[in-house]
Amino acid sequence: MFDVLLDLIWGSPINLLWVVLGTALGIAIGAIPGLTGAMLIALTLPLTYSMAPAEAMVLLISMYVGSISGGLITATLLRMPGTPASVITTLDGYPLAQSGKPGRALGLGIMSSFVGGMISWAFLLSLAKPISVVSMKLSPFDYFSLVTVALVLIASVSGKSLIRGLFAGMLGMLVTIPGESPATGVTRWTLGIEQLNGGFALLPVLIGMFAVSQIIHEASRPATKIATIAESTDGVFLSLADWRRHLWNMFRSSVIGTWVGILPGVGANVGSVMAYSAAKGLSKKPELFGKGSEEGIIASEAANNATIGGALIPLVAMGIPGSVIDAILLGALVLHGLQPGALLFQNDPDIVYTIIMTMLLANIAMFAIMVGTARWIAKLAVIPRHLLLPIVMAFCVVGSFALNNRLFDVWVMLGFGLVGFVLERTKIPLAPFVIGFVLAPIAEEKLGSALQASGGSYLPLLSSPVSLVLLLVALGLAIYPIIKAWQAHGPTKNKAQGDADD
Amino acid sequence: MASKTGSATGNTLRRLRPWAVIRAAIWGLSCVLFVVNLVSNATSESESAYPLKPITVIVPFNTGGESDAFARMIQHAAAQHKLLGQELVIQNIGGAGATIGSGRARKADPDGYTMMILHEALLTAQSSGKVSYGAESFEPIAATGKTRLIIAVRDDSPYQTLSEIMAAAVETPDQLVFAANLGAPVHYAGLILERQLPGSAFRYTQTGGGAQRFEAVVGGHADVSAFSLGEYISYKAGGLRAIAISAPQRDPRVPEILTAREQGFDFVHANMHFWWFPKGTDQAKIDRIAKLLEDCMETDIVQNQLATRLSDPLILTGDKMHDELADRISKIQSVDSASPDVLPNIPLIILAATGLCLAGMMLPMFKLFLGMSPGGDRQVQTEMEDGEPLLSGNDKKRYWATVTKVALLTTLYILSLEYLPMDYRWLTMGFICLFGIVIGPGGIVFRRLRPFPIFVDVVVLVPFWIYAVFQSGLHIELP
Repeated sequence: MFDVLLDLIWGSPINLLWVVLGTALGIAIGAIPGLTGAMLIALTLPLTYSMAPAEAMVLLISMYVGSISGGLITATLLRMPGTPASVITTLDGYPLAQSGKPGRALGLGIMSSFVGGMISWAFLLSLAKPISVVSMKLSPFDYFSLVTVALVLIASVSGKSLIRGLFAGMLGMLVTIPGESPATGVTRWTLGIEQLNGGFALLPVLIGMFAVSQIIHEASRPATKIATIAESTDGVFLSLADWRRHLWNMFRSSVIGTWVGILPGVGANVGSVMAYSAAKGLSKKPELFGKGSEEGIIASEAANNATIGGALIPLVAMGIPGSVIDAILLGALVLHGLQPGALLFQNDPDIVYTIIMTMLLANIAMFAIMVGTARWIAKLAVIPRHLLLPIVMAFCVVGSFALNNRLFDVWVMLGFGLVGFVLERTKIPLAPFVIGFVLAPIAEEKLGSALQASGGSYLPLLSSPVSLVLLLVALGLAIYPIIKAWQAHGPTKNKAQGDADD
Repeated sequence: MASKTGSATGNTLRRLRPWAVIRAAIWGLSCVLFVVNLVSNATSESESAYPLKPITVIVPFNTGGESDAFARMIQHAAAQHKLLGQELVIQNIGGAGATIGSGRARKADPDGYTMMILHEALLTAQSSGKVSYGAESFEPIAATGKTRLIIAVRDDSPYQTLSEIMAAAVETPDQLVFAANLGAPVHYAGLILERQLPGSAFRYTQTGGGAQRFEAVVGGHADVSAFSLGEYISYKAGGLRAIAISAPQRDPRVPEILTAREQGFDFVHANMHFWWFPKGTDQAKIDRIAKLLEDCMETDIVQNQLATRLSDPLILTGDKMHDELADRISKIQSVDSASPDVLPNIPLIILAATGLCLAGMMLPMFKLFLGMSPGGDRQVQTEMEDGEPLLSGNDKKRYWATVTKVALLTTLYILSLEYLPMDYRWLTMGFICLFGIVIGPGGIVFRRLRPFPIFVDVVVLVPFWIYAVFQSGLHIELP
């Protein structure tokens, strides 16, 4: 396992170059409001076709680490979160920067990002292999139940409203229906369009949902006034005492972030919200939160970086993506001829350890780049959008086309761009859509395989203990929020009515 | 172009010296690249005999699969030994059991510049009713490589011989689980085996590629499956035991494995990669490519690579190939590939569930029960949304006007890529320029698109670089 690490460092200079380039690009894109890591990675994927699979993964993982981290710079200095993951950081980062300590605000964010990444990396390194060994023993029925849990989970945890999350998830599943059935190989719902025989491809749908819809929105909204950028960022380097003082908070937030990351479909933004709430609840000075609390910055940034390692665990161990970016990485593995799933560890251990070790290297590169260049990166936010967005849109078109050399995919991209735009405007979360879209074929294939093997009997679904427990968990997850909402808002109907209508 | 660059550079030189140098370098490099591109296009069209330009090889699978690896090996051998005088360009068009790629190859111009590599999946897709066309819609060029199949079980399986397995399949028909890729060659291996013993029946489950079939057999979810010899060797240590090989004689590389014939079953089969031209391609061109493939198979590159994959460097052309093909077609058509229909109507269930959710969102009654936050810090979540200011009045109108313009402009751009016979670069230049104007400040007044010189850089250079990277770098034919 560590020979892979050595190979990455000494083997060929190209890998280290990809780590630095990928991380730097990720930080830059993450820092620019309106451009996200998912966009960057989806659009870079077509460029990696001619690379070796391991090199491609090195580049993409580095971008992932960089893009989650870069947002904190603009969030802190300009009150413009570069990515959704850094929204919470603005609450305390910006006030602290305003109070004359921009360097310290950045330093706290960068330090906790680094620690969050390292702690979740340790979890990734130690948990991925055992989980893959266990999941290899799961029968198709067990696997189906596991995917069911994941599907229910995304709906209930992401977004404000359970029903909207559920709707988005179901819509994502519905989109997988046209094309070839993963269970029987029969084509269905193609409306006679031959191009649709293979269904909607992952990449055009994701580029549409996350890049095109975002470009349309960014291009149209009124320009925001940009606050002046702090001239000096002295104090980025923190003293040892600072590290020691915040150690417990960093550790707690990282564990929360890692755990949230493991849950499918729940991304870095939810991780930082949960860690922030926990830090506020346990803090000795909760009144400072929102006014420049150092603990607040640390909780948010440690947690959002920790989701990276967490989200990679189910990806490499079971082939189930833990976040939207992981769904793209899953597509990247398939495009490079690798079979994601429990067997990836056995068939291509080098790829798995390349992914894991790249996260470590990229995390270190991220720390060095951010500490050294934070002030200049903040200036990226002032690039006028009429320079930026047309290029990104041109890349969306060519990226979707390059997947299979057909314009049909470009139309799919545009169509889902509009769908994504409408969903966003109506406050329907996109993450459950993507996870539903990625997991439905897996669930259907496993169910099909299981039913074909059992001769059509559903009994093993309940008689296998693993499957039974998982189904009960899914049921609990579905019912719990309803009960909770009922308890909290049942008696005060007027208030609930008001909330529901907003 | 050069003079414009010069003046723009001059204006900003004093203040932005490093940026000006970088700009000049980018422009210079772009010009060189453009000229090189033109020259290389011009020289390649000056020769006379077929092939005059690179030949596209459609691989109807994604990169990394066995067909892809085989095609790339041939491409590599042809390039290393300069066997063609032109390049072979691999184009991966995966999906839907290779039918999207084969559909594309079928409709390509029969000018000898598009061919396809595809094994029996072309035949099985027709036989299982997935598509209406089969081998008859193409001109076969050659059949290359030969990989035997291995029937294998789990290490601790009670079955020791093929007879025992088949006997079990007769005794308890439709109980023995056969991990397959429905409608694909492995499935047909099982079906052909069944025909050898009337009354025998496996229960086929949709499992997928070699890795998944291995997982299913070793994990105890399937009793038996078929693997290519190469797959078997790489998975053997994981707990797989060979029962029979589909060869007429024992294979010297795995002499311990009994043939199916030795065990009394006439199951002789091998996977081969067939090469196809669209129907109507010149016989002379077919012969030329067949010759190329023959030459490639004799190179060390191919011989060594196939040896490591336990595949035989065999090639069939002309009548021998046609006989082989006819034999395979009759075998595949002789079996019934209908799979048991035990699945619930999943499309309908999902559609109904989506409808229910939609109704739930619309009905205020449901909203009352389900519309609430499922936990988390409400205050924090409200603050999160404050980042996006609400639009009012005029702003709102302008917002939706721009949304419409951007959507229309992009639609128009894609339409013109599809239908206008114009170069990708010019169309994209126009698109980026118009897009910038639409979303920039000050409408059509160019000078307000600040910084204007950089806007020109973007409009002119980006399409060229995208073109250079994709067309020349990645060999992706842009529309």
